[in-house]
Amino acid sequence: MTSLRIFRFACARALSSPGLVLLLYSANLLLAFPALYLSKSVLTQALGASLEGNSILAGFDFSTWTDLLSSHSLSPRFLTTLAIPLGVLSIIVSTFLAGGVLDLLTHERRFSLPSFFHACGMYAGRFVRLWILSACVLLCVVVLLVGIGGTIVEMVGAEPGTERTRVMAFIAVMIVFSIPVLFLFMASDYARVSTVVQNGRSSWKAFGKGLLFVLRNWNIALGLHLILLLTLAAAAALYLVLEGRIAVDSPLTILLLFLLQQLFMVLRSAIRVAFSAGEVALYDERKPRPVVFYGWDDSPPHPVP
Amino acid sequence: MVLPVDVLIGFADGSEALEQWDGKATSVGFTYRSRSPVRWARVDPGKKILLDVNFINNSRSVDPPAAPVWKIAVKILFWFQNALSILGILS
Repeated sequence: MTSLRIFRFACARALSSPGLVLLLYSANLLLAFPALYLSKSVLTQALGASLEGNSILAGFDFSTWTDLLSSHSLSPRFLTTLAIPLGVLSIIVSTFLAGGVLDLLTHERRFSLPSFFHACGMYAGRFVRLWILSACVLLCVVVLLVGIGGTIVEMVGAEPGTERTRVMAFIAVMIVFSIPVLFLFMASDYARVSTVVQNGRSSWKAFGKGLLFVLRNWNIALGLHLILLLTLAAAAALYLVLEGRIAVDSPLTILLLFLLQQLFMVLRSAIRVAFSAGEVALYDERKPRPVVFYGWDDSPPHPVP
Repeated sequence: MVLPVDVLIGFADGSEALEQWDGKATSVGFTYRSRSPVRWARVDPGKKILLDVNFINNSRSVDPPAAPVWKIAVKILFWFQNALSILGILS
């Protein structure tokens, strides 16, 4: 029930921070904008003055798509060459912005660009160190799990005529091994929260605190994550239902589709803020506090000098 | 390979004319006396020649539609936005 209570609080916090939500959305849109520009110019070049584009408007046309993809100008390679630098840039920008988001949510400040970017700069170095540490640990764990998982699947698959068993073993291994990976992701998140809440400088200490926090509050932290992931899945399902109802065959309906997509992305940014707000609230509620000893009820009064 | 093929010509008033082309020459010209100018032409409009490896270069328009390009481009933008948002989790 605590997870639900914190989830409600996190949603309220995200809704009361429209500036923060819009900033995250704008950063995402700006980062993805080169994809729009490049794909538009490549498609314009590929289709030229052809009328075949009309078949795309009418719906999915296999022959037009294969012709487009096989033409030298629109090979899938153009998307991957764009995706790699944009992906790296996205990780850097997200790491930078995380400081401002957590600082704002922790200290319950009003959103203003100068204070937000001041906080981003203040935590940037610490968060980069923490990211490197978390990535190294995650990489080691994933390599270890892939090794163990591969051995298990091979052992199961060594039996003749066990294709089905092999697939089942693979799925089971994936499910079981996703738990430690999720655990590390959560620990990394709470390490950042701990850095901001306690203004820590050491990445090692923060990562240790994150690990301990998730270990001690596994059920409630996992519950909160799952509720927020379910909210995201529900938003995605709603988007898909609405998108299916729009017949995208005219400039007006394309504009409508674009607006719907961007509305979903704003909602996605709000859920991201709610994620952070929930983690901050949970950490604040469950963080280890120093014990203050005031004395027993029957202890003699403190002598007044 | 030389194959006879249909050519469909579209006019500004919405009317269309279907012509035959024996395909022997590299190009063919048709002359019309009409008040309505030609807007587009399409070779093999029924896509009967299945050996054709690229149907995109079978047609040409005076004012090619921009909407198909925008339709695909906004979808690619949306995929990228989602992919970058997922990558943000790794930060």
